[in-house]
Amino acid sequence: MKYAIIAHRYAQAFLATFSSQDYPSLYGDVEKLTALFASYPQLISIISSRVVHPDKRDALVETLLDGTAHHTRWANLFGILKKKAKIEIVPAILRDLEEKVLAAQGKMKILLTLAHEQSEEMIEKIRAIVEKEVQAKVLFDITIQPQVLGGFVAESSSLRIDGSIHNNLIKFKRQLLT
Amino acid sequence: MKIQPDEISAILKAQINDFKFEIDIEETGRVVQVGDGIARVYGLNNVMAGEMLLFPGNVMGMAQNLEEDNVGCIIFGEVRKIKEGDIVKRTGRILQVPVGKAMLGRVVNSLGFPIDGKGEIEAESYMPIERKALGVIQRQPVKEPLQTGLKSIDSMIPIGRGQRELIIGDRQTGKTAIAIDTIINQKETDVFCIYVAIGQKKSSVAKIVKELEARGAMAYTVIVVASADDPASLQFMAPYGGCTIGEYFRDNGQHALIIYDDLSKHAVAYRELSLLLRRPPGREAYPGDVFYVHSRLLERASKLSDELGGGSLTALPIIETQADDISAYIPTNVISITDGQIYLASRLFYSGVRPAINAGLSVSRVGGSAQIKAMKGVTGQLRFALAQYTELEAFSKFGSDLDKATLAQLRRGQRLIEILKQGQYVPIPVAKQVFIIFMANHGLLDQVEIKDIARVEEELYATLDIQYKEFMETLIKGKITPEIEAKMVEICESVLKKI
Repeated sequence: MKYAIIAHRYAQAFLATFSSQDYPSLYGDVEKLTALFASYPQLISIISSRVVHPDKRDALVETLLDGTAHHTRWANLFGILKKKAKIEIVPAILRDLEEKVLAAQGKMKILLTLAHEQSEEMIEKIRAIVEKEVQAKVLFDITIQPQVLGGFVAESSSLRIDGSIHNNLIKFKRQLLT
Repeated sequence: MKIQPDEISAILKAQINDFKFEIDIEETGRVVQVGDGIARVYGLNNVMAGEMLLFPGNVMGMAQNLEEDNVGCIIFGEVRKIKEGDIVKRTGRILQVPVGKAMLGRVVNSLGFPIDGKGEIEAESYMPIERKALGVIQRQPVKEPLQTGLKSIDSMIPIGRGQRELIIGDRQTGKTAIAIDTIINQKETDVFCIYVAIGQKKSSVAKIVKELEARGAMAYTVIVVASADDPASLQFMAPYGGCTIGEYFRDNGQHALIIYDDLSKHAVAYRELSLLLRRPPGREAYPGDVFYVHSRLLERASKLSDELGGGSLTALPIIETQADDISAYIPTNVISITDGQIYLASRLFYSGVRPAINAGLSVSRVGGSAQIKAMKGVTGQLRFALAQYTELEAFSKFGSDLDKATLAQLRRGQRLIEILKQGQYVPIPVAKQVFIIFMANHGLLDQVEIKDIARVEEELYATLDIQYKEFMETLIKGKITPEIEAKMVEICESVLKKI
């Protein structure tokens, strides 16, 4: 969270260089880079490490950005971040970019937490509830956490919809005590 | 009492049947930075200024700075419970405090939670801490007196119900004593009192509570405490909370008196918060809106129109000066906001004049119209005579060859000073005040030795209590007619004869 505000500013500035027609291709780039950094978190430390020769680091960044639709702009962004020793905020920038691009397309990514796996039919029901609240098309990222006990918890960066049994039991306990 | 398992299970079943499964929808943000009673939160895009926020561990906060990409919040609880990345929830509510008669006799914190160990407060209702001051139409001019029980104030600097009168002076000059005496003097009246202690030592507050309890004043008093060890956020909110408690009485057609002890510490707390919130510092590092912070608080004191019930909220803010400097930033601000000031001089205090009111620098801009006619009739040239005395006293130090008139003025001045002296926690009813001032102003004390003045005063009060109760009641109801004046002279002379 330390760099959330700075990342937000970088993401906003980076996005300003694109027109809305470029958003689908930009989203593709963001997805690709996010997956890459999620699979290899050590990449951040390698790119920002002073032990690794600068040329090698540049080459690594070049390899990472290979195949992106907006290669030059990404290279410029990485160059600025490297110069300012802020490579570690790349994942936060990517998260913010993803959110912004999706919002521009009337979509929202939601982390859906369930107690156990649910049928497609049930997921669609939850989707209907959440979409009604957020007034946007929802893309679920599903995780399973048995502590939820039942129901669901849907979270985005600025909204939390808690329809879990765990939360309702807490409220019931409070009601009994009062 | 025997507990029946059947009854318990029946209650539980009923509770379960009544329980409704709900989906909570909350707008959230995340803590980016926390420390020194301040948190910066990322997210909360739709949060309102002044909205309550819920931090983990049930710690409450308040949105203060709505910036482009973060929200600066003040925290009302333990900052230690909050860490970076924690979820912050919106509540959609503006900060509220409990109000009503259940608050009387209680000691509460800035948010209205009891801290006196006397159990929960069953409040009649809750009202927002920050309320807009009433408009011009809803008000009426100050017209009823609020008696402090202090001769020098009720005679020279009268306070009316709905007025804002500043008490200003250096440390240890008796500012709080005046406030406490005023509270004690409301015992036989219909005025409810609120004492707001800001940034004071807990021991000092405990002493005040004890004194008020001993004099039966807690029955109509609420004490709001944000002590020196409380976070700046709580010290900042305390006067607003107290004001809301007072407004409840005012809005219900009753009368309330609120004392802010003191607004200098309040300004310091606000400066601390503002600097931590990175607001640009101005003069003496106070933020630019420190004037507005005090003006919006003091503007809430008012006398309501008769259509709205005619209730009133009188405010007595206290300001502590440094080395008698009333031209510093905060003192001048509050002087310009209030309807007058009672200036306490340390020089007078240490020379034995207590209350150490400097009559020359003290003024009440609106209280005159609220002063009772009898008092108006006897005070007449009191302020002028005192001012003359102060000037002549300095002049007389240069030589002893003074003419008769000057000597007479000095003699009168000394007696006036003497009769205006008063002990702490001994407020005097206004009728008795009228009598003693009448005596001095009419030269009836000119022949009495200074050391005997206190004895004359004592004897006068005793005589009035025993023999002239009814006369005193008529005295305060109207003007002093020649007949009444003659009677007063007669009573005074009879007292002097005894001495």
